[in-house]
Amino acid sequence: MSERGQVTVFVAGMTLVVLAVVGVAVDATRAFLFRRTLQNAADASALAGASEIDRALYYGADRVELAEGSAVRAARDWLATRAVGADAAISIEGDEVEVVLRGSIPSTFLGVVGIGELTVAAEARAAPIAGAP
Amino acid sequence: MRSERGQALVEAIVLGLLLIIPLVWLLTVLADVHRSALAVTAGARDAGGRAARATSVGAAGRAVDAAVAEALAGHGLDPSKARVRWSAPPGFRRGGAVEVEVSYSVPVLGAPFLGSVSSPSVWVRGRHVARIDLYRSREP
Repeated sequence: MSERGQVTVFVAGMTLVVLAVVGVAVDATRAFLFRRTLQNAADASALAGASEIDRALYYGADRVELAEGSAVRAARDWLATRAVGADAAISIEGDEVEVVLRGSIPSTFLGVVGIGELTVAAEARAAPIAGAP
Repeated sequence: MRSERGQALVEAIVLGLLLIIPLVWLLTVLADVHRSALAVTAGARDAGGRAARATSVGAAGRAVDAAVAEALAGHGLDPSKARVRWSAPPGFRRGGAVEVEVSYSVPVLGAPFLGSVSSPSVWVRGRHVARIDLYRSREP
């Protein structure tokens, strides 16, 4: 029996495998970069919120405490300037501002196997501290 | 019947070269783009953070330049090829926004040992917005 052409099938199969790896690499890279974008935005937002301290308490009693209402407001306003395209949850946990961002990007190649979008999340916490670092 | 000995090797070499070389090239371009994207986002983030803690607009400008240069050099890129744009509110007002955008052009045609030729390129951008520190001491 002739075996002519069998290598063609083998190379074509290998090419499909390599293409799949490239596709996963592209989508994973995009998801990773998107997560970094979210993380940067979450960090900046948490820091903006943490700079809102209770000034009356600070100037009156030399104590540094978060002004919770304005901290959440500042963090939210800060996110609005970034327009990162993610759902945000901002809360006060103890003396910290916590910002959690969750967003999705459409996949490029993984749609072939039914994964139409990739969801990533980033979380940041920040608290006011007294004194210059 | 004519012998087919050796034909598989020829097919493998021809098809392998035709298919695998472009894929390897694609992977190296992707790696370069990824590395550059990481570098510009890191540069923008560091630059924004440092500028937000600067004591004046002049110090903020120096901090931006230094942060971008360090981030790009740390990722093995040439900082002189980066485009940096940054802005701060008038008077470097406390609580205002410092915005930094770093762009870098990644050539998509390159050869081992020869570097890139004049070729199409992919621009990657990193942007960061940071809040100017409300309480830090300022230069008079």
